[in-house]
Amino acid sequence: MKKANFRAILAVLLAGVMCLSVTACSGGTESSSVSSTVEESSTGESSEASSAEGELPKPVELNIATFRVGTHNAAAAETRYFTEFQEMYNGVDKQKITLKVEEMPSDQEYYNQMKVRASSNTLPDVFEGNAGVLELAVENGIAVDMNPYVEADPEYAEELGEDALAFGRNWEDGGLYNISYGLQAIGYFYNKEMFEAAGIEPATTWDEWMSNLEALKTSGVCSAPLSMMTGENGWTTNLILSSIVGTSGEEGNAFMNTNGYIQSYQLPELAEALDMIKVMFTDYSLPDAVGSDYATTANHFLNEETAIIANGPWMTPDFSNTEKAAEGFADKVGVALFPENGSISQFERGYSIAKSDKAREDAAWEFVKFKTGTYGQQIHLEEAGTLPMNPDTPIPEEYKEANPLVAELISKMADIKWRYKSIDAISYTTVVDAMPTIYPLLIDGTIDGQGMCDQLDEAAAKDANFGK
Amino acid sequence: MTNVKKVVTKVLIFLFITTIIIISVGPLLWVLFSSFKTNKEILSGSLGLPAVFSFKNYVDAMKIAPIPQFYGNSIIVAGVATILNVFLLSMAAYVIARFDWKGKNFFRMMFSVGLLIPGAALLLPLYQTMTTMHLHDTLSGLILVYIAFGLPTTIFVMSSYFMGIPKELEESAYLDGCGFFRTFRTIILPIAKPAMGTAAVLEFLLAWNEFQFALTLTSSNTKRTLPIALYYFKSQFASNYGAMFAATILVIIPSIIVYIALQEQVVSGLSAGAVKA
Amino acid sequence: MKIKKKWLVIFLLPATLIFAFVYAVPVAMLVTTSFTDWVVASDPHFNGIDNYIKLFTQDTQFLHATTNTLLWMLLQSTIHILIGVLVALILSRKKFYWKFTRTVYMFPNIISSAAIGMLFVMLLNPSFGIVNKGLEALGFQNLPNWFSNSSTAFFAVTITWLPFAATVTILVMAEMTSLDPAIMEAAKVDGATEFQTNIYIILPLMKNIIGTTTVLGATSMLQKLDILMMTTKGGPGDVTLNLPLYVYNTAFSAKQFGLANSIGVIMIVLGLVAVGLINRIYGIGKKDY
Repeated sequence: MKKANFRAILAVLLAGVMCLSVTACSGGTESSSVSSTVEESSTGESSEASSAEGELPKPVELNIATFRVGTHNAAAAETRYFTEFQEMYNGVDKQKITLKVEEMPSDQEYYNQMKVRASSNTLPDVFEGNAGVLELAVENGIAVDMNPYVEADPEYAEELGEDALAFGRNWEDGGLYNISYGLQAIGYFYNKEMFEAAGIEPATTWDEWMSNLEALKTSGVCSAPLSMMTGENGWTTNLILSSIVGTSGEEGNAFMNTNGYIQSYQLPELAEALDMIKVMFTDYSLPDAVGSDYATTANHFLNEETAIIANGPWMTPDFSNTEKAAEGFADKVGVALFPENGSISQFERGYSIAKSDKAREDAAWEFVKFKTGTYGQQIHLEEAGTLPMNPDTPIPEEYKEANPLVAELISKMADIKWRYKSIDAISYTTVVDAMPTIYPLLIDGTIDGQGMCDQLDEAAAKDANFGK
Repeated sequence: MTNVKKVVTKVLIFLFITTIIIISVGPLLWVLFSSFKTNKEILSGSLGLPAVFSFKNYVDAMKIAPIPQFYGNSIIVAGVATILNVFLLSMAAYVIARFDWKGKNFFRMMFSVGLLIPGAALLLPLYQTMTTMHLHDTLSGLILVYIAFGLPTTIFVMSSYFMGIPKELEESAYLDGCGFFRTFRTIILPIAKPAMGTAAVLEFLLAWNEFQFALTLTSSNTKRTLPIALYYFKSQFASNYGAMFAATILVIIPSIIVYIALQEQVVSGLSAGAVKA
Repeated sequence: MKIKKKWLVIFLLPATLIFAFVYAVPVAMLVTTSFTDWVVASDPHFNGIDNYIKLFTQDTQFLHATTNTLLWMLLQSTIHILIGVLVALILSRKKFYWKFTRTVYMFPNIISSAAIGMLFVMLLNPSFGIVNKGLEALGFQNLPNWFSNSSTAFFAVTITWLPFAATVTILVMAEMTSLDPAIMEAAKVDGATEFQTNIYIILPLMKNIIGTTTVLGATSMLQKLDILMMTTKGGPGDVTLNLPLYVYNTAFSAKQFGLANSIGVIMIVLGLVAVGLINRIYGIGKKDY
């Protein structure tokens, strides 16, 4: 009996294969249906007639890929973009543009995929060119210069602001190959209760920063005051490192504002800062900080095991999330600029358009414009805590009330003395990826700060973009 | 004296097997318990039972990632890939293992190349081949690739089993007037059931768990498989580990069922066994 | 035995077609582009054997990755196989626990390697991990941060795969089903101890399958990537860097497809040598009937 069953199942499955291969062949040529996020809105089309009038440009189906899905903190913003864009461009009063969305969970995988696609000339119509992808796309002429679009639309240019535009035009030929969608402004969060108990205030100098750590430790308030990490991209650690160098004086600040990528890490300020970082790890962090990823180190802060974590405003919702922190934790958290009134302040790289035919490029532009204009920036602020690019863009009062910590950070930004970028934003991908493997050597004493600088140089030289 | 020896051996065996069981069951229990825990509990490294048993993570998992949709695709992909892999490649393994012909060793080595190519180096060429053949974003394309990924293992496993079967079996079948294919199908394959079951398990696990190529070779959610769903729960600043482990449990269950079912095949081969001299 | 051409072609064709479709083009591309300066999004230009020269003369990371990979291959084709065979021999005695053990031993192979990686990160966590807590309770002090310490990372990573030899066990056990019980009976009658039966009778009969699992075990070290990415990323420094991870980094982090493919070619050559060697040691492919 068993045998007969086995055979029957087999027969059914084999029949299934046949059907499958037939449908696959017929399905492969016509473009398959839109992905689930936009399915509802795009099936609600029944406006074929109106687009036939000939006044509107022909319908276009745009290929979009996104890593803002699942638990990503901008997933809700992304869904809103897609749905609202789809509603607007439904072929009734505007050109019909259908979004074919490809979901690529994990940003690292997304950038890997972009490298494969860029090399096969099948980039999505709108893409994000981090991790060195855009440099290579520009160099090989497969990215669109968006200057003509912006010049034809002064109103939009205003919404974006001069700084953001200049950031996007920061290419050798002055082309506008990427348009940012928001500003990253980063200080650090601290536990007010612990600071009070240790009798300290947020530090104004780095000496005070170190003495604060010592005070927190010796007073018994917090044996390991810092939430550091070396896993993933070493984020919280790199923010502090960037700040030490960025506020160390003109030279260090210029280094941390490198245009493009850092070519050499030979800078005494950096080596010194790394030696300081080592002490922060060995004396003022939990033993698991080395090797820790963001989730673990953040959890220590949320659980009040540590007193300080460097991070951006997108973290604030976690403070009042009772699944992550105890009830009332949000009231204990304060936000501060780094010592010497320093703050990381940088634009997100943003969106780029891949070269194809004029009609697609035009449609892709409509999408980029929608995402990055004032309204798009507002969605990103409300749903994901990204600050608008144009300092003149007003931030709604309701938002400020609902997010007091972000409001506090924004008000403190008026005092910023040193502005700089984070080190991973100005380092080649090879360096960013090597940092998690080099930090442990620094911390276990195999190398010192200068040694780490040398290793970072070696890592940089491996990048295909190096020296270009 | 011999008694002492026996006891010592017994104790050693006992310790060894216990260790094996602990390191095997431990991970599964950890994933299972974690699937009921809050993020906080997981990140604090607690190993024991969750404070409260709640199915919230499972509900979240279903909400965050398109699991049911991917489930169907995974079943088709892994099921079809396993069956085709084992049957088609057993044929090749059979002629490689049991007959003398020129070029046999070349084929054996050629098929083993599949074990040696780094995945990262395959990604781009396969993406391009699949796109050219219009197999990008199809389940058939994915099935084909997974059959090939399991090709070396299945051929190795099957041929090493075939090599041990005494040749008198076939010779007598031929004498009875049984054709080549019929001999293979009715005499050889049934004997090789234990090996087939094992090869099938390995191929199923491969096709069921593969992530990188699934992501590269498909683009619409209607064609994607379960391992991709697991990546919906981990993003840099916002991870939901509880939901991730709940999803992991949902992903594991079919593998365990398939494994146990196919192992029954292996055991039932016992009665048919006893063919090796 | 001899075989008719017709049947040979028919039986080989499906496998060969599948192989050609999935591997032939990539391997051809891999080999050709390994002699070029190909980077992401650009056209490749031939640069002779520059990549290879660079790898062998200037690239210390590559050399470390190679020695690490070879060491892991060696460990995997010896200790790993030994554990798997040992479990198979013990379970083949069909004591009450054999079915249960055989089933559960496979579980770690069933769980995604991402989850396994995370489990080990948690177990070996120096703040709250059970391993260090347990050792502390036993009186040990100054315990290391296993994955992040230069002297312990290699060991910690090896532990995540070395003992999980269920594949070996089930393959060997499947092969044992075909053993003639009469042989064992005869051995018993002749007064052979169980140990002697295992060593002198069973293992030699298992030669083919043990050789096969050795090939699979050794070559699996040419594919280990996920768990490294989850735990050490090859660090500290390049203490746990292996060739697959180095190919990955070179292709996707450094965006040097050409150079990455040269490493890929070296891996294939290395693998073929290993497979040939293991085949020779176990005499696989030679008639034993």
